[in-house]
Amino acid sequence: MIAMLYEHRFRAMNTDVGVWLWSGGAEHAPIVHSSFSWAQGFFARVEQELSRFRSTSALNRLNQLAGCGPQAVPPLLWSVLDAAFRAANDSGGIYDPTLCRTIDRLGYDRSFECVERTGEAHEDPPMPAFCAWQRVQLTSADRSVSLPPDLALDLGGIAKGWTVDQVALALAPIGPVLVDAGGDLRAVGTVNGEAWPVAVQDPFEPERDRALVRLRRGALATSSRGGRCWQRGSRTLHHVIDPRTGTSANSDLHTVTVYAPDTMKADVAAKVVLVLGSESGRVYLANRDLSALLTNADGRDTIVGDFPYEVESHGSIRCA
Amino acid sequence: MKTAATTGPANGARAQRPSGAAASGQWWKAWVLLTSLGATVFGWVAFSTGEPPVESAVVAPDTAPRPTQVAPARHMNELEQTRPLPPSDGMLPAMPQKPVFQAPVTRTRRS
Repeated sequence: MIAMLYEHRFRAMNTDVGVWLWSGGAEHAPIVHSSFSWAQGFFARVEQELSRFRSTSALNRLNQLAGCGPQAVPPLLWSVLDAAFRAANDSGGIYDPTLCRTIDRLGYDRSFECVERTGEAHEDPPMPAFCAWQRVQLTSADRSVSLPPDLALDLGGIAKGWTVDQVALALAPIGPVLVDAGGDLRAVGTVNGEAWPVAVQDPFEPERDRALVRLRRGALATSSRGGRCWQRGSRTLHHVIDPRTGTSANSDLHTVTVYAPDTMKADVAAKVVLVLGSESGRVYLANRDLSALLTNADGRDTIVGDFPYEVESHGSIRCA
Repeated sequence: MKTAATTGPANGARAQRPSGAAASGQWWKAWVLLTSLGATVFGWVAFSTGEPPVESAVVAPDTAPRPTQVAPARHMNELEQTRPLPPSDGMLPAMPQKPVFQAPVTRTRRS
């Protein structure tokens, strides 16, 4: 009996999701298909509970009750919140899940395909909100959250990474698996020790690839100024916010791809390094034993740590 | 039937060439042996299980079977019911030979 590679693609969380799973032939097909069904349902369930754009989501209900004291939250929301606040603490506040109002104010106040790409600049100055996350009270005993009246939570990226990790780990007992949600991806297991080949998109020419990563285990996530961006007045804004300035990050980096043990870590690290810039970003990565491909605004690439990439056969990496 | 006798050099005797009658007897035996062998090989090929060679069974990512998309479950109970069950030990089949992938499976991209 020979293993087969099964593939399942669907839309969730406003992005393309792909799941690849090695398993047996026809006799294993039912369990593979029910696993794919579960994975798609799980993505849908997380989106339903954690999207800031869904009025009925548990996250939105919590945001609407800001200033009303401690609120008990469902287990799924609690799990992601707990991870998000740990990440905020670990990053010294550079990653902050409480920047929802800031990004709304900058113009990203609805699902991105509905955001107006051009518009007038906001007349009020930016709202720096550094370490605002410290004003939120989380009580693990009763899984309750107390939000100050001026704050709202956005778990977009970290919720996606968390879901990718959960699905990959749930499917791993069936066979080697790769889960990809909009470029945030996690591999568990290999076939005959052969790594999963994953391309790294060229941030300046999206139809081309920059490099090839051989992923034996762990996760990749990319954060970029060139992805979701829009214009307000003369300024080009993007969705990665620097909490120290209250506006879109403006470091020397254009795109960051991080390799980490899990997708949630990779996603947070990619954002933090994009905000910090190349110099402080290198320190941040080194202190956490993470590796990355950093691309400057002028297109030059820098490899940090033991990033598992190849360039000879694929892509056009341009190291400084 | 007389057969060609050979003796090792240790006893000093020379090997004798087989006579004409003995040689034709040898060819007949060889013919029977080869015919039997051929029949055996033919039968093995004709009645084997017909499993394809390992390489031909590798499914490339772009040709892998795509299961029908299933509408997402709406309630937690449904989700719990459809949660995949891990197979028992030893259930995982043999993996195909290298190289499995001819191209990237997917790509990490700006988000």
